[in-house]
Amino acid sequence: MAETDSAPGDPERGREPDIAMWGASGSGKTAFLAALSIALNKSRDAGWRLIGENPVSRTELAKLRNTLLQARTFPAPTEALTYYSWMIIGPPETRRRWWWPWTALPAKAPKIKLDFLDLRGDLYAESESNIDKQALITSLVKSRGLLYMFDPDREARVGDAFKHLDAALHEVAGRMLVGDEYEDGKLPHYIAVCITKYDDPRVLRIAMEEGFTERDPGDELRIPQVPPDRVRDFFRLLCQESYDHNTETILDLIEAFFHKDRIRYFVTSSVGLFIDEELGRFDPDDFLNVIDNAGGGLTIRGAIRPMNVMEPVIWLGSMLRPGAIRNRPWNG
Amino acid sequence: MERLTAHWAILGKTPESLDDYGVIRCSTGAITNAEFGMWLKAFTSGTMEPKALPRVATSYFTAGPGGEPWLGLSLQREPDSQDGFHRPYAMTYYVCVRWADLVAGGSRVSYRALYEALAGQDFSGDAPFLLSPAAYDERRLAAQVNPTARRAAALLLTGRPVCVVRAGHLSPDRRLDFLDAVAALLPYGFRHTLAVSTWTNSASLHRIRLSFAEVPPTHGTWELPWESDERPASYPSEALAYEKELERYQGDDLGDLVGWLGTLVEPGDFGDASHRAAATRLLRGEVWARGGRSAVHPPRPSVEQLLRQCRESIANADERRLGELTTLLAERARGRVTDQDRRTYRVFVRANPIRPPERLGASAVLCDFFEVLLRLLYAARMRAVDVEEMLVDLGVPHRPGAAPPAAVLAAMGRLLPSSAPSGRLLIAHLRGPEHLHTVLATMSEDELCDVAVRSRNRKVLEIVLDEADRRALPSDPRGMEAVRYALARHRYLIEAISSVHAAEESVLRYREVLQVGHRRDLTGADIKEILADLDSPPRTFLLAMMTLCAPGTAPALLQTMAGGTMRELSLTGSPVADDVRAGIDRMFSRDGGGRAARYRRSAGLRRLGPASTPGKVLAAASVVMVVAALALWLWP
Ligand SMILES: Nc1nc2c(ncn2[C@@H]2O[C@H](COP(=O)(O)OP(=O)(O)O)[C@@H](O)[C@H]2O)c(=O)[nH]1
Ligand SMILES: [Mg+2]
Repeated sequence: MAETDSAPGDPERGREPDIAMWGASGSGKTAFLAALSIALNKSRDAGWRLIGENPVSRTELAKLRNTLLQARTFPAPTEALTYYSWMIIGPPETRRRWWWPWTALPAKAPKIKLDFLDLRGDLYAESESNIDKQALITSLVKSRGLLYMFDPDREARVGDAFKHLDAALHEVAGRMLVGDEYEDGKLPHYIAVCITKYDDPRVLRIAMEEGFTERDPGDELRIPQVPPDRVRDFFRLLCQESYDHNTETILDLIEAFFHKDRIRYFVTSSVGLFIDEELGRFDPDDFLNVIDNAGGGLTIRGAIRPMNVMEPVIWLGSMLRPGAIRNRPWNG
Repeated sequence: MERLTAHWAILGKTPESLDDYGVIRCSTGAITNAEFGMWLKAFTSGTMEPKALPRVATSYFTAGPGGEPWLGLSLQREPDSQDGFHRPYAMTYYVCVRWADLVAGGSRVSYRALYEALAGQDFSGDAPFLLSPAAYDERRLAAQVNPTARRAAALLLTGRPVCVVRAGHLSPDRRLDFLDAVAALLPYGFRHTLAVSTWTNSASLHRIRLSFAEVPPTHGTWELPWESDERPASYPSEALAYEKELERYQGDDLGDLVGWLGTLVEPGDFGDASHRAAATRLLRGEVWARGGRSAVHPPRPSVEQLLRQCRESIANADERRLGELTTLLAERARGRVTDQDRRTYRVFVRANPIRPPERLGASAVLCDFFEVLLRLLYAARMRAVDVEEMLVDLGVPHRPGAAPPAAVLAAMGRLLPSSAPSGRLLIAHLRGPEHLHTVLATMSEDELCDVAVRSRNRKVLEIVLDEADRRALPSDPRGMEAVRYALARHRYLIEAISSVHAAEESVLRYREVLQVGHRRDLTGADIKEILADLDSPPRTFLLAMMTLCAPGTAPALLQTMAGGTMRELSLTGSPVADDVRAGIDRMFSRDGGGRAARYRRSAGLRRLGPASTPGKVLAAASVVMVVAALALWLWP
């Protein structure tokens, strides 16, 4: 190791996270990451997996999974900038030569290496003299993927999403857009805007009552889904419901800073809706999957069926690592 | 310890809060709420894990316009309430003190003392605390030192953080003591930039330099398995050097070292390579360059301590450890060792005999050890007395047949070239006839006699006489002559013999000397020659001569003796001298001078022995008796 004078905790130089989590405290960032490996395993396209690339990331991945699956609760509040080096391995794909398409080549599994950065949400709003803030901005500038978590419930209660996003965007933009590198004046990132906690009745009710939900005819569980082309509108609606009027402009803010074709909206839930196994389908009167426990904490009631957790990540993965995955339904 | 003003803060949440961790309450004054928040978060150990609580950590920062340095310690307790998202959260209690206050008094403050002072506070109101931490207890700190602590301290001096793994079983208390012990093995000033924690999460970006963790971070950190012997790959030499230095101190010596390191309060920065290098130099006893301070020296582990450890590793046949200790011992032997020191060490070794087990045989490490030991215990120029004392010191019974251990012999062989001639002879003798022969072959007759006289050693004398006997063969007149002259030049080894032998033995020894030199009964000429250059020969020598005098040499002996005495007393030529001579003549003439003359004439022709007639034997015996009595009377 030539680098002997580095301050402790310096992340490896030259290797910054690919995907940074973005969103206020409690918006569900860590829960999302914890659900990711469960989501990949549960996907209909069976055969996806998430593995840790090094001992640290493996250990943390196991801890996160166990929190949801074994302890059946949510992760502790994040205290520090946390880096995960994970690799998503897809189901093997059979390939053919374009010039000899009659025999198949040996199947090959797509692999996407993605480094995630999780953090405490407040950090985005902290002053720049803060050492951690500087590390965060450096990471953001170098990363190309953002997972922006928007928690409608929090917005209805505090309404500080705009404040956070605005501060952070200006920080990054201030660093990246002053030069000539990005002539179109937009940030180069891909951003997956995720509405979180869809399973929460306060979110699901709005979606259902406002007529945003549809049922996928192929879905035996008959879970109400917001179709991809309506998510943006749903997001706009949720922003309007916010405690803070500025929140209404979040969508405009995002679209002002990022290329339109690099933004995608998702409605997500880390734990999914509760499905009574005996009934075998969604019950509008009994779908609460997160309930209070005797200790005053939360318990996940039934099976964990993450919704749209894998999709934003695979989308970002295929954008950041073109060629790693061939066209898939969720790619467009 | 005088009382310390400590500012404080609580980092946490309020129940039902939707916000991230923040400063809930803090003291007012020197440090603002925002500063507390920033520094507490900057020195996070990572997201809390219930199994890692309570968690104790230290941090450092500067505050105020002058950038005044502070040192802080935090305690994160188990969670007992939940935030607005129903997540349990853990409160962190934090105190910090000015670095200047910390090092102002005569006594230092350990992490444990600060922790205990913190634990005694109620964190209410908004006034700073007045802490009374326990005094710096170097013995207690030293007692916590284990090889992992030494290695951690050494690795910190590479500038990279250290992460102790495989220690999940240790209680938080034990971990804190460990961190304290590591810090105590470095100059106290380094606590100025030392952040430690009883538990860190390696996925988190943190600024903790020394901590325990489940797995180490992927990059840039030393992974140090708890109480494991395996050395990290690519262990840098500077760290190894520091670790070796530390290893020299055990028991009370280590306590002294910790106490001494506690006095070195000049702020040290782990980020600064020159500071780190200075720490190593300091421990080696080299000058602390900064600030033009005078040289300071670490207390050295006592040689006795090292010897005790050597003895232990020999008994356990632990060659690796013995090798390391030998290096340390060698350093001590190279330094200034006074004769008084050597005596003390010898007494120690004699009281704690070193008995290598058979299976070590003459292993190279063991030989090295003994060589170093001998150099340390005796001056490099070993003399015969030293060799003999060494055998006693090492517990080799000093009797024929009891051989010293092979490794000791081999070590002595290495010392041979630098030894004094007498030591050389004795060592060679101990190592065996062929070795002795090689050494003897290089020595002239004069050198041999010289060694015998100078060493005044029984064994050396014996060796020299044996060798002289071997060289003075009657068939080799030149050899004989060489031996005889050498002996004569060295006063027939009188100085050596008289100092090592009692009367009877002396007579026998002198007789041997005379026999080797002459190989026959002594003639009158011999007697004259022998006594001519010999002032005041001891009486035992004269007796030995008398045992060898040829028949009829009594007058010659008596006259020579008388002549010598008168010469010494400056009476030669005086009337008294004539009287004496006349008296002697009269003694030997029963009927005047003719008899005496006849007796003299026959001198050298007749031999004392069974062939003589009884009467003559009787006469001769009585003459000898008279002469002897006279001689003894005359000679002082
Ligand atoms: N119902 C429901 N609650 C969630 C979900 N994800 C997160 N939460 C809640 O939101 C809280 C905060 O989530 P967390 O991931 O820690 O947020 P972070 O601060 O952004 O990392 C969790 O403790 C849960 O109570 C979800 O998918 N559904
Ligand atoms: Mg979090």
